[in-house]
Amino acid sequence: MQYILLVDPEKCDGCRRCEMICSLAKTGNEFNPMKARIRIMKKEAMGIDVPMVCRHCEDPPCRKVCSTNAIYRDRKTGATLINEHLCIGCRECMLVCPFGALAFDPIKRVIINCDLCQGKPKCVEVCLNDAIKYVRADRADLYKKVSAMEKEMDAIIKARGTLVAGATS
Amino acid sequence: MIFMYGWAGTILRIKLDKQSIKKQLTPKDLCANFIGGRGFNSKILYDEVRPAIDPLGSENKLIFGTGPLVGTVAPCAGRWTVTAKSPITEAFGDANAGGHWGAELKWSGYDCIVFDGVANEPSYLLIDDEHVELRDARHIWGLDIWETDKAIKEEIGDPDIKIASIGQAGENLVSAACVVSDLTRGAGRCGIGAVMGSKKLKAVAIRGTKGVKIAKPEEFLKLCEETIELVRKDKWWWEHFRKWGTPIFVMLFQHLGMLPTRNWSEGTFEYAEDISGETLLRNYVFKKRSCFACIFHCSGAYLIRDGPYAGYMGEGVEYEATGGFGSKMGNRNLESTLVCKTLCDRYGLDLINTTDVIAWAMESYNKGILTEKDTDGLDLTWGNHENIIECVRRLAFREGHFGELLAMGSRKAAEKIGRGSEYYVMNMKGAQPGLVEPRGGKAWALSYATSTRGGCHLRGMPNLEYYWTPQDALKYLGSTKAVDRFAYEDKGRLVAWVENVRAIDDSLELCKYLFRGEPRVWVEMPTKLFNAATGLNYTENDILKCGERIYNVEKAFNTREGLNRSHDTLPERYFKESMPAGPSKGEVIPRDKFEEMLNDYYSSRGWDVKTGLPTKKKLEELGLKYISDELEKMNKLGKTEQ
Repeated sequence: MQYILLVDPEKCDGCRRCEMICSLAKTGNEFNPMKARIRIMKKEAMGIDVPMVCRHCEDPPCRKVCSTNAIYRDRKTGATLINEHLCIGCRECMLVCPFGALAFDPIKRVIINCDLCQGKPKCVEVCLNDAIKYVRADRADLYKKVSAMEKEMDAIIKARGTLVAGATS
Repeated sequence: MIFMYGWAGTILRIKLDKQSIKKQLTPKDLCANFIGGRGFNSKILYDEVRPAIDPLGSENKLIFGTGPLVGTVAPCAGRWTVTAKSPITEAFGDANAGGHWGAELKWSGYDCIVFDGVANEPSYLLIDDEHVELRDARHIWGLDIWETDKAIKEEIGDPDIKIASIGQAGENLVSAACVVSDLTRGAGRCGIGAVMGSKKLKAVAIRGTKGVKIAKPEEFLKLCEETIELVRKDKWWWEHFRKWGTPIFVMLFQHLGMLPTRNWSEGTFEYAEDISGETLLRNYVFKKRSCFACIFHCSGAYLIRDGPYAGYMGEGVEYEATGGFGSKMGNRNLESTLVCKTLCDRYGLDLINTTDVIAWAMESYNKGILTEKDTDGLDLTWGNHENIIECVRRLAFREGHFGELLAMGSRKAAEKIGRGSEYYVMNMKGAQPGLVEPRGGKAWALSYATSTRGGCHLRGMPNLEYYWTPQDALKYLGSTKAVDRFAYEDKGRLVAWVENVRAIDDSLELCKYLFRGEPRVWVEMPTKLFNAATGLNYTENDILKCGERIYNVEKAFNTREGLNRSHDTLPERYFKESMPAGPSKGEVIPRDKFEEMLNDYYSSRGWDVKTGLPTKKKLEELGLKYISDELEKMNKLGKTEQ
């Protein structure tokens, strides 16, 4: 069963705890956003924070363009992984990724990517806002639908007025 | 070996006049005795700045620093401190801010940046790991903070580079000027922005890729989780503060009768609901935002959608904006406080110092001391929000006679005007604290008077006075009276203790909103986090000793500048006028009771009770013999009690 990370930019406030925990998990003793597989990009002036992380696409363009066949799918988790020994650091995959998900390790000089922490993603554990969820890939849309419904629900209840607003469930 | 972890290990030294850039290993004894951030900065400032220099002259230094926990996942450890001799208090000064700039400084491999001298032409500093460069800033001189941020990002070609800069207020050497990072995170207090302006330093832009290594990762993570669990035990705080941020304090202090209103003449505001956190959240905040590694995310991004102020946008709206431009000026128009907050961020003005001088001018105007002749025709009736906004603009640009007057800060402005306006200057040593009415909380009153950077709510921030249970107070402070907010007993002991703790918070660069009702979060958890990060093995007492040492160094700096017991006092109003209404009605600070608290404080600190000066015994006990020797030579050492 494949699971993926589902991010909600509206819930993310940009504290970057996920970046920190990710880099520690991957390096052992170092906090360094450059070594994190998740990255929050910000537009401070507009109050925007977007977590950038691999979608583990069904048909990953990064894998198609890799000239050394360094990108492969993990048998257990379905994650799109990179074989560091085969990677030549050409960054072609980075160029074609539509989501800016891939990162470049400044020390090892290879592409690094989210490996879903072998099925127990640390970023999900530390997010205090539930902005990252680990969900079944084939049912991810339901989670998005639920949060969209909740927003609609608020509007519907408001429109109904105070009379029925008190009645829940 | 042990100093490889936590700290970055290098101090960057920039001589602006000679354009020289040097790197120095962070001395081990600095790490071991002064922790980081505020502690490092204070020690460097004491050692390298001579007494009686001009704060806006070339001999002053400007020091940026971060702590050993910054740049990690430690809860709320993302802050940074900037230190210099203050042009407002003409004594020790520093300012502290959040955002993401501090973490970036740490990742670039530096604990501190020390600026010396004055640049020949406007410059800005670019740090890209080892590559450090002073760059021409003539083309961005005159731009506001947000424009500067955009211009530097475009110039460097890095859309995510972290920038701390001054705006027009800092360039114009306005006493309320501050340094702002990440567009809205102001290192506000003490007029540090004016010092930066005097050095012709426009900005410090940083990109760091080196990360932070820590000694015991597994233990560290467990401690982080444990700290969060302890904080979350306070369910009310966790839910409400996370949702509303500091604007929640408007109603919280209204209910305590401690909401400073009309330049601190009252403690309740009849229109508090209008400027409350709830009103703000319901109508203006569209997204919550966070500083680095924060667990609360108290900042709100706001937009005014219609009306005369439609279109104003910004972030980081907080109590000092809604209360400072609101109740403190008798202003019930919440939108205008948001406009002021946006303008302050753009011009680079500290909310507290700005609202201090404007509220002083308004009260003087309403009492008939200032006339429209003095204010260049501005009507400063309480709550006249159009003119409050106009004041902010004139202050930043020193526009007209009135702009010049406001730019001096309330103390100097009142000295110039005279005519009894001095009575309405509500500050201590030249600076005003944040919005907590001291007559309604006696430890606050004492901590405002004893603060080492002029009147300040964060030097002591004795909120344990009403958050802690008497049982906890007995255990940690040896007194139950200490946490009765209307009592005077044992407040000296409480304030001395809490000032030491705050010195540690500022040196580890932890946010003070972490600390509330749960005593274990105050000292035990920071100590453990410090140990796990650095690999050292400090006890809680060792850490508290560091806090005390830092506080004594700052005190010695002020002593050297000529400050003594007579400066550790409050504005006359708090002694003379009792609170007119509300839950703190009738409260006043009787002068004799205040002096008793001060006596208790000095003896708790081991300083000379009569003069308020530090003693040889205490300084030597803290390993500061060289300071004791220097003060002795200057004849400024207190007498050790036998």
